[in-house]
Amino acid sequence: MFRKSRIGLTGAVVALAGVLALSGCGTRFQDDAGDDPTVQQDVTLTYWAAWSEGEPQQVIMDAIIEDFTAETGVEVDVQYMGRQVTQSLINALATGEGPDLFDAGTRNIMDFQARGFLADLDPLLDREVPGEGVPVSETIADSVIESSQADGKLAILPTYINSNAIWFNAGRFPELRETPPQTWDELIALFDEHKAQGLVPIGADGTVSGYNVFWIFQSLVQLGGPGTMRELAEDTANWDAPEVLEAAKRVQQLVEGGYLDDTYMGSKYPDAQNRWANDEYSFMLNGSYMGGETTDQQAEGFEADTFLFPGEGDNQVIEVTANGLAVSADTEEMDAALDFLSYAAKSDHQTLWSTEAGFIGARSDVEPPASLISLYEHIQQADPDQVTGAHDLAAATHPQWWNDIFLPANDALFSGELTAEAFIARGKEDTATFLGSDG
Amino acid sequence: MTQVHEMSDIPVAGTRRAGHRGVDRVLIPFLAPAIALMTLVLVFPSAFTVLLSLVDWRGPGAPMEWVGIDNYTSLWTSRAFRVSFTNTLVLVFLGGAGIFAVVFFSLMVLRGMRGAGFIRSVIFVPYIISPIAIGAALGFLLNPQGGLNTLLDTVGLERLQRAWLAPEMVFQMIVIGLVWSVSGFYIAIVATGTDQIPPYLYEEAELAGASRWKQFWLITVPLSWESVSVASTLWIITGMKTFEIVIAFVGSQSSPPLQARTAAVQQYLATTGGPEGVPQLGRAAAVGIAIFVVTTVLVLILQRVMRRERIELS
Repeated sequence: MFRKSRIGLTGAVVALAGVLALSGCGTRFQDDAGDDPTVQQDVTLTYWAAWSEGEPQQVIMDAIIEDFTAETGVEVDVQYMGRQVTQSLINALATGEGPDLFDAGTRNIMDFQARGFLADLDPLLDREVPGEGVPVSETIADSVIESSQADGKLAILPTYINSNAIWFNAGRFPELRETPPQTWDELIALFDEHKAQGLVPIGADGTVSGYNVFWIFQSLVQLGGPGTMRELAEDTANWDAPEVLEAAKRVQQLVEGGYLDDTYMGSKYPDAQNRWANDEYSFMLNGSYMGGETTDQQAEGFEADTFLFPGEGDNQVIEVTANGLAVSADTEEMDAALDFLSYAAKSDHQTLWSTEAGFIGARSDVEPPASLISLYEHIQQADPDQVTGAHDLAAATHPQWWNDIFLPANDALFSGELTAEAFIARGKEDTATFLGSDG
Repeated sequence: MTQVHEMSDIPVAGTRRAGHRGVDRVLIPFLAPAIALMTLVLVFPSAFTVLLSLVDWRGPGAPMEWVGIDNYTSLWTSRAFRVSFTNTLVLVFLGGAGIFAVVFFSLMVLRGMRGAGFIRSVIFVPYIISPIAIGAALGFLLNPQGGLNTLLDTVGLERLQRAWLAPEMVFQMIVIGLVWSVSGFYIAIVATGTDQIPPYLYEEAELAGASRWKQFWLITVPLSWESVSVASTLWIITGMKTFEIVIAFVGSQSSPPLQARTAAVQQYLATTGGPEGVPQLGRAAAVGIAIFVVTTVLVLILQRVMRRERIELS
């Protein structure tokens, strides 16, 4: 499984010599490096990828690896194991049998760090991007670096970003590009305007709890700042904060305002987003991936675009969920691994995440797909103190509370079964039970 | 030669003799491989699962903390587990009632009918199809704009249109989908008993003026009792573990809505931590053991309830 373990003594000696030859050299891959492909011959990096054969991410990684090996002679033994790689990865890393490189992201780097799986990648920030004359740190926005850190240290080389925002058809409502709603009241006024025109303002696939929760998530972090939703799992007193009730009242207002159709809670993914792409709904609050997912369903003249969920006062909290490449703390090929990451940070490679996979690339100078330009600009300008991860990292840090308490309670709120006050009461009661047994 | 003599002393079941201890020693070498294998693949993993249910553990690389029976007590105080467990019992009993209603009705109607074998095969087909495929297909059929609501609209029954997958309906739909998909399997099992019933019994009953319903209760049920018992036991075991069809019905983009969850889905969520979380293996083990214990108790009760003297036809 672990290719480097099969390298014989001779190979190991040669590999060691290669590593020694490279040590301390952060600009290994200048243009002239291609002239000497034997520099790191016999060094092999192992990489367990979370991608499956045939998907764009696999094609991108293959392209990066091929170029890297051609220029450096360093082999990368990659296994595309799909999303189910996580459990195998955890087992392998815990027993020292893991790969040198693996995929990780904001959602799991804190857990991986706690388990001691992650190499400190801070030195990568000072490495020069091969052939570009600038260090890696200068190619990535502060907000993205913030989302790529665990315990204050860089945990991954970010390759692409997920976020969430309110999606609309700019071909139909072009004025929203220039003048999106800036406050909650303006957003509600916009919904009222659309409703008065006979449109259905909001679409939702209500069978997906993780999508229903976007509304309360955004309301909570805009009103209370990053961490407000996550902290509800940590102390029942946090449920008493006025911004929590206000956030729940906002969701109740959406439900009672009649902005959704009658059957939204029975809608199965991806029906609602496809109907949005067919102009049957005006808006959907969803992940940055939704534009790409609906490309084939979009009506003629459709121009998918986003605006941010309105902030509160001067605060505009934004989700920046970074995805990228991590290095095992147990790797014996740290230098080669850092070289690979600095190589993967090259502009032409990072651009592939936008052009081939339709994501917001992690590099600041990578132009995103047209539908994500607005969101990309907000991410670039975001204050690192106003950044949070997917679902405020509540799902990642308190999974039982998230799956068993918060998502069901929010479904009840979002469906209209519970009022804001009843939602608070239920959430607080169940959290108290949870903390009593697990806290 | 000594061994030959000892072998001849092997006790017949129910006739244990005073010298059986010596005989047991002879059996040990023969039993040892099986015992070793079972210990390796069953006893050790089971013991580890029990141990796991007494700790808080996120998996390899994470610290393991002893919590005693907290994982069990927290199950009973958890709204999510109570709902999912109640759902599971509803599925096993009401779903089971539905399945066996279909089974008995089918066997009653199909008996003696031309083409009965073909129809039975057709009913069996859904069981061959993956529950994932069935769940996904039914899920889209039941979507607000899906096939069922479209059909109701076409035939002028718009008032019956519903959001079939909404929280208040979704579990009923899952139970119906499951009954439809597995009934063919239980028909096949029970039919192994009914097929053995001599036709002349029905002919004589008809001559005596017995209705189909009476024939069913007085002939079919008593003479197929053993196969019904086997089918019921299998259903309890299968029903208590219902998982895939739930995921297929509501999709895997997120944790399934609470109203759709079964105990096995709760175990899955604890095992994986959900789409964004980390595993809680201690809790997952506790859920697994709870499912196992309840399943065992239900099977024992069922066997007791269904115990009958075997009817022999002379």
